[in-house]
Order: sequence, then structure tokens, then C-alpha cells
Amino acid sequence: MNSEIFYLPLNPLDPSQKSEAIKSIKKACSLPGQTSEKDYLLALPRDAHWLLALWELTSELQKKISSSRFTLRLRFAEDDKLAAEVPFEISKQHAYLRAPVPGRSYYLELGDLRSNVITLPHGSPADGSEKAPSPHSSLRLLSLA
Amino acid sequence: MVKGYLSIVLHAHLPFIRHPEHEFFLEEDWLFEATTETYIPLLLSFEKLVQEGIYPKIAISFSPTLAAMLEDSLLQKKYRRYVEQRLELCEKEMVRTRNHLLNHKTARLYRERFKQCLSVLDRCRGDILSAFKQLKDAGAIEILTCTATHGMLPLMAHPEALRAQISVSYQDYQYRFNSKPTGIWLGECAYDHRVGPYLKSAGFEYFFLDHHGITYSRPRPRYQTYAPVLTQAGVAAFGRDTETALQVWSATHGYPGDSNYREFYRDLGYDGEEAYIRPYLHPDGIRRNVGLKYHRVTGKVDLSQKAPYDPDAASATAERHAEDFLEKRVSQVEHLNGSLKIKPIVTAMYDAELFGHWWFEGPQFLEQTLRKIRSQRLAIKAITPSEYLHNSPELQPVKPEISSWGDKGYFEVWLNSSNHWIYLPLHKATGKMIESANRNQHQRLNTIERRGLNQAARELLLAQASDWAFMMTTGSHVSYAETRIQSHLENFNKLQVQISRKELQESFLTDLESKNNLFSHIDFKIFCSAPAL
Repeated sequence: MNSEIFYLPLNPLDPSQKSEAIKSIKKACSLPGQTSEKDYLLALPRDAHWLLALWELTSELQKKISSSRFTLRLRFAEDDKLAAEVPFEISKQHAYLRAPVPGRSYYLELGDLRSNVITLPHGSPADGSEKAPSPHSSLRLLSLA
Repeated sequence: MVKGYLSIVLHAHLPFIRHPEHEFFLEEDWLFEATTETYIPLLLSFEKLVQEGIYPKIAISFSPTLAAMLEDSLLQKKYRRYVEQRLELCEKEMVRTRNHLLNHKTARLYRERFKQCLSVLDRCRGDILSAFKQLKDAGAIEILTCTATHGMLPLMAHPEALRAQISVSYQDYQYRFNSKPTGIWLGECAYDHRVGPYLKSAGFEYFFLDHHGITYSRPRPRYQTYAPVLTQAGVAAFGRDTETALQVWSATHGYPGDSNYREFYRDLGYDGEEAYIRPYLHPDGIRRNVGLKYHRVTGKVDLSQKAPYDPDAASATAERHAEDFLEKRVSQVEHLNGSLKIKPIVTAMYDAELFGHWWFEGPQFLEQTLRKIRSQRLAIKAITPSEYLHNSPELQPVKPEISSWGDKGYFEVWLNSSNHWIYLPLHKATGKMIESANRNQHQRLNTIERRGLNQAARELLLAQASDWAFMMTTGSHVSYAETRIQSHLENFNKLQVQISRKELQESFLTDLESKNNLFSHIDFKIFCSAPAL
């Protein structure tokens, strides 16, 4: 099993260029007098191979993690087996992760903190099933054009 | 003898954009343009067919946000002003173009169009949705709904958020159309396995997926997209046909790219002399489309080299394309009928706004297609999804592929580095809404507190619209999209704080209710925790 995790390269629209908008939205989402009242670790599916991890940690949890980097673990939801383990910077607050197997369910783990479970698409047709009909002639023509 | 079916499904949607605080607002024009170029022309085409004794048998989804805007008296008033101003411009255009045969013909066409719009508004008392409802009640068309604010369900971690998007749309449809919806268009056709049980539980019978949403199912579906499948939850899923999609959508093969059709990107708003066009722009004076376009696609030439538009040549082309479309459909169903040994259904799914707004002649193409199916007694029959399901044999049970109809087939359009930062704030707000709903569901709330919680639910739903993330990805109206998410989450949080402190300001609440006034029957308890289905 391939347990590698890759970062996606940053593109020109990286949110670091949108810091003002991000700040104002974060402000809008915080209740007055409540600073990071909870730890958040959110997993979102992007496609058959990639998922996004988003996190926001309380200062308490951040203190627990002595280094400025922490280990994010990706686990198979079916059996809790480790799918990947990778160090990340706390301050980045997000990371795109490459999942080892499409079509499986996963969750993320950071210390005792656990994310929601997500299922990734298969990204390909099923094997060894009923014979599919041949493409219609005009579709063949379009694919050749 | 009928060998197969054609089911045309149009998805009509715009995000909820309503700004009573401004006399003119740029993004409100999207509704006015789509109403003029798409919704009213489609309505008139369907009505014309019915008058000829032909039931279009087309399915059209009106998203709850669009439906709310079409029914809103303030936007109806603003739209009437828009039409009257355009009509005034058209009268001037009749004079300005009098020495140019083709442009004069085009100006006359626009004048007739805007007169028709006014006539429809008068007939419907401003509410064009009521005219679509009459067609639905007569059995001529099928009206579907869509997730409440076009939320991107697979990017919502809380099952309560999925349930709210689905259930609110169901209730909204019931109140609007006085009947139960059978079908739903999932925002962006975005699906994961959690969705089916909530569709079933709400009362929906079917929904739609992109091609690979069906063909990548487990097990592989026996009939590809040419028969709906049954999800594990017991809800049917229709799959998008790629041939019909390519013929209309493809930049290279698609009909709308024909050289005779109207060119979208040349507009009098930019071409006209400043003093002449100024009264028809917004008070800021910034040049923008006014909807009067006098050029045709012509070919791959610079915009400045586009040739004059000829409405008659465009009309003849639309008729030829309708003929071609049907020839290909007949050939397609005959082939499939022979190889699959079933009467296949070809599900042709499109954004409604493609027809008329982007492809000006699109409504005419559709009208001709539906007319020819009947008049030429072809081997293919137009059918609505409900009709097909009521007469269809047993469906194959499968587990559909998690998918969307966006670029690359999954969720990257709505989840990339331009927009991924919106999801944690949305997730946190959803969590707060659930907590608050749970805490208050059995409380003896006074009217204002209940209204406050209901408005908080509205604000959250509005923040969840997939449109904002889409606009960030495309780089179009990005600051507006950011502002919308920010303002809805700010409103949400202020309400939550005021409610928790028992300090709800009625003037603030009333102002929000008056501005973001959709889902009049919403009940905040739709966000209460419930065991996952």
C-alpha cells in the first residue's frame, strides 16, 4: 500500500493573498469573548485521490504539542488502520493530502483529536461486471473529431 | 413505434441576490437578464406548444432561491423598470438603425421581445412563476426543486446540514406549488452516499447525476445511463447523457458556436456612444451589457471583426439544428434499443440559462425539437422523469459514484486554494446552529426568539450556497462572493449571541427578515441533531 502523502503546489490564488478577507470571515465566525473555544479538524473530499484537511486548534492543544510541527495521521475508517502519517506546520491550518486508495473511507487524527469520516470517489468504473453496450456511432465520430 | 425516450431536464438557478438597500445593484441584473432572455422565452415556447396541442413534457428545476426572487414584489418592481427602460432604448434603436437593414431587423426583434416581457408581466401580475405553475398543473411540464440554497452537500460534514438543504427545499416547493415534489436537482449534481437516505426521508423519488455518477457505480450499471438506477436508499438516479451534452455544450462541436448565432460578447452597452447609452447604465456610469447585441458569432475572428446578426438566418439555423438533434436521437435510441433490448431513456441535462441567455436561439431550438418529435411521429418520445419511472420496469440497484457535474467530475471547482478557507467557518457556524437548535427545541420561546432562530437558519443556508465558492474559482465577482459569505455569517453570529444573551434586538431581526426574506415557513428545528440515516 502506498502511504505517501503529497502537498499540492500553491497556485497564484493561494489564500495567503486574501488574508484580509480570510481574517474578516474568521472574525465573523467567532463569537465575542470566545477565542477558539473548540479544536477543529475537518476533512473534505476533493476527488478520488485527494482530500483537504482544515484545522483550528485551541491554545491549550497547541501547548500540548511542544514542537511547531505536528503529525497528522490518515486512517482507514473501516478498520482504523494507518493509511499515512505526515508532519505538518500548525500555522498553515490546511493541507491537501493524497489518499493511498480511491473509493475508501478515511478520517484524520491529530493526537486525540479526530475528524469527520469522508468517503472518496472511486474515480473509475467497476471491474468485471456486465458487458457495456458499444458506443453509438455518432459518439465514436465525436471522439475521433 | 416508440423505441426510446428523450427526457430534457433544465436546471434554472441563480443565487439569492436581493438588495433593497440599493435602488440599482449590479448583481440583481443577472435575474433580469435571465428572465428576459431565458425564463420568459421558455415560458412562451411551452405555452405556444400547448396551444398547438403539444405537451412539451420537459422537466425544469427552479431552485428555491431563484423561485423566491421571481416571486418577490420588490424584484418584480425593479424588473418592470428594467424592461421599461430597455423598451425605451429599443424605440431609440429603431430610429438609430433605420438605414441598416439587418440591424434594424434585430432592433425590431428586441423591441418585440421587451413588449412580450411586459405583456407577460401584466398577464401574470409580475409573477412569471405562476405561469409555469399553470403549465405544471395542466401536466404539460414537470417542475422540480433543488437543494435549498444550492449547497454543495459532499462538502458539508454535518448530516444535519444535508438534511436541512434537502428538507427545506421539499417544504419550500410544497408551499410554492401546492403539491409534493417528486424530483430534485442536487446543487452541482453533487452526491455522496449520505445523501440518498435524506432524499428518501424527505419524500423525493429521484435525482440526477453526471454520466460517471452512474457509469462508475458499483456494480457497473447494466444499461449505462440509458435507464435510471436505484440507490440503496430506494431513490432513483438518472444519469446525464454525454452525446446530448456534447452537442449543446461543447465549444468545438456544440450548436451554439454556429457562425449564424448571436454573439454574446458584443453588446450595445460597450459599442454605443457614451451619451446615448448612459441613461441605460447604472448611476455609476460603468459600461456593461444592456442586452442589445447586433453581431453574430461569425467565426474565429476578433470581436471587432464580427459580422452583423441576421435574425432570419439564425432562426433557420436553429430549425436545422433541431432537425439534426432529433435525427441523432432517433439513431441513438434505435442503436441502443437493438443492443440493450430496452427502450432507453436519453436524459439531456442542461443549465436553463444556456437557452436564451448564452445561446440566444436556444429556446427556439428547444421549441422546434419538441414540436418535431410530435409532428413527425418519430421513434422517440419526449417524457418527463416521473412519467418514465411510473411506467418503467424494475430498476437495477447500485451504489452510485460520489461525483458532481463540475470540471473533472468531482469537487475541485468548489474546493481549491481560491476558496477552501470558507469551509471551516461554514462548518463552525453549522455546529453552532445545531447546538442552538438542540438547546432551544423544547424551550418555551417567545415569538421574537423563535423568529431569531429561524432567521439564523436562513442566514446559514444562504452562506452555504455553492455559487460563492464557484465565483471565487472563476475569478468573477469575487469580492461580492466574499462579502456575501461574510455578511451572512456575521448576521448569523450576531443573532446567536443576542439569542443566547436574551438580548435580541427586534429592529435588527426585522431588518434581516425583510432583506433575506426567503423560506418564509422555515423552522430552525430542522437543524436539530438526529441519528445519521
